[in-house]
Amino acid sequence: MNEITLKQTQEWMMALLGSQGSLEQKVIYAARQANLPLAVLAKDSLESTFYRRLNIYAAGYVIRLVECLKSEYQTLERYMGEAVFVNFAKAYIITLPSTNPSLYDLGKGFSLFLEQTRPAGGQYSSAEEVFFNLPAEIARIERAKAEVSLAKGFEGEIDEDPLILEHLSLFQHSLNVETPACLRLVKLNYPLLYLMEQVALNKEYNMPEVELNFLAFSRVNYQLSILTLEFWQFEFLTICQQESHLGRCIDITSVSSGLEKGDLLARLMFWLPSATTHGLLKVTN
Amino acid sequence: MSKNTFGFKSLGFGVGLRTEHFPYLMSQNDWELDWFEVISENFIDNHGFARHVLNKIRAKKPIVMHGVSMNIGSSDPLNHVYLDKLKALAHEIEPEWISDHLCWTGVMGVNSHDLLPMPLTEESLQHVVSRVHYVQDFLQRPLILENPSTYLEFQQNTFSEWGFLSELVKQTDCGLLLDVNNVYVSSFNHGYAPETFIKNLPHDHIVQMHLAGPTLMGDCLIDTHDQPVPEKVWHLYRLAQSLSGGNVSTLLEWDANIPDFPELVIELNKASAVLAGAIPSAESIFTAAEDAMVLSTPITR
Ligand SMILES: [Fe+2]
Repeated sequence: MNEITLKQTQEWMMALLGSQGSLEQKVIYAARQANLPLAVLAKDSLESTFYRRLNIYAAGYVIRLVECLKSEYQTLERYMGEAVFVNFAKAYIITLPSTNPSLYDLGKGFSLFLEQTRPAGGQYSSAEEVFFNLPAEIARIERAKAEVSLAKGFEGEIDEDPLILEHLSLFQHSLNVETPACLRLVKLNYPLLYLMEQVALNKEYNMPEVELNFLAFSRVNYQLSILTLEFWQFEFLTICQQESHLGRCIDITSVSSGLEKGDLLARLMFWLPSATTHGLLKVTN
Repeated sequence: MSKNTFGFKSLGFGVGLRTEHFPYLMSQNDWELDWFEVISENFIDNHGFARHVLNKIRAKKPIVMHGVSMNIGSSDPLNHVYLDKLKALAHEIEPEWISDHLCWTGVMGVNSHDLLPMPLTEESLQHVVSRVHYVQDFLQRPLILENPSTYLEFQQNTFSEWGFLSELVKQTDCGLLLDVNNVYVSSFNHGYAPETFIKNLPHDHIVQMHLAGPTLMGDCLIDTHDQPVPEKVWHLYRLAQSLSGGNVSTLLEWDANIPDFPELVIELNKASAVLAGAIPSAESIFTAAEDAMVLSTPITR
């Protein structure tokens, strides 16, 4: 029986783990997929034990990863209800299996998956539409929070002189700007922070109306910090993530936000101190 | 600290570093144990609070890096991105050693995040031998491999698990992380004597031991890491220690329903008492409710 290779055995088992349905259906699928009937892998005398034991791996595979998604998407699970959440989580794991050694990446595509698996438009009322649209947006917020907790922040770096933001020094052309790797900028179609707070507390909430809004997530001293942004602030931070020269960031933002440069500078002088204390960026010499 | 013949020092008694304990660990300056084990994958690509905690602990205690995704037994090529990151992390935190499991975690590019059983054949052995050589050359240090809990055995097996591990050690000079609970679980599930497993290993290559508590589900023991260590496992632990010099680094694993840190240390302290001859007698095997689906290999955070 030694002709069965390691590769065949593993491909058979992976096909089994990654398939849908009952254990019986999984075994049939894997046998077809890897061209290996169960009897080749299990001793005759132990075939029924082997079959039952397979379920520890087969059921465990999905449950383990669903648990992982649950811990990343706690508010979403409450919003959707456990049963619905688990159905989507299982479908996600089977459709887009993990390919990364790290579990941190597991939930990365969940929001997009939820968006793509929404019931097609035209099948529901506008009230229902809000209900179906929110999961993907809640997921984006929870994913942003998870990523903020992992990426590098400004902790441990020397604090810049706060005076740099005072007076008219912003007009200096030599200043640079730096955003932390943990900064996440999220553009949403519904205002969700209040709703998510209520959901987390198991309290009542009203469904939100469509309203384009912008959020920044970052970290200060290892604590999550969230700031609601205006459009021009969102544009400015997005540009700062790619460009370090403050003057150029201001020029580009002026064009993309439609604000005159003088107006933008005045706004920045008021807003930058708060953005800095929230860990969104720092201005350096 | 004494060293075993394989050249690794004995670290004493430790536990796994878990997120649940971060607030407690950060509020104390000593933790009344000798060392910590970290799950390598939890710190690769993690530059947040967890890393801050690790740095504080590393300044005071030895650390061991324990991995779950090397995929050493897979027919897929080794993941070089992963190995690079593992090496970089080791460079930064300077662990006493790096361990993973004798298993495969995925194939065809997919990671199951489970520790899947190897077919124990000559082909598997030669495959794993060549990969262990490669990894040891790459990391510039011996790789320490753990026996996982297994729930099924393949018909094509020609080796016992202890026979496979012994040959692997002979051909690669890798070290062993003997998980005493996993020996108990696998022996129970496959119907052999756990003492036979333990007695037939190359004891001078046992660098570390794991202790944990399993759960009985039907006719099968599951490696749940969520219970006190049962009496039978303590007996096996004492046997394994006595055959390996009596001073092998010991780590208590507890990954689900995690008790408070001081309670965990009380459970850990039973290990030194066992070595002094006092085996706790009360802990029987925890049995799962009839309709419960028990999860093996819990995700460790
Ligand atoms: Fe273990």
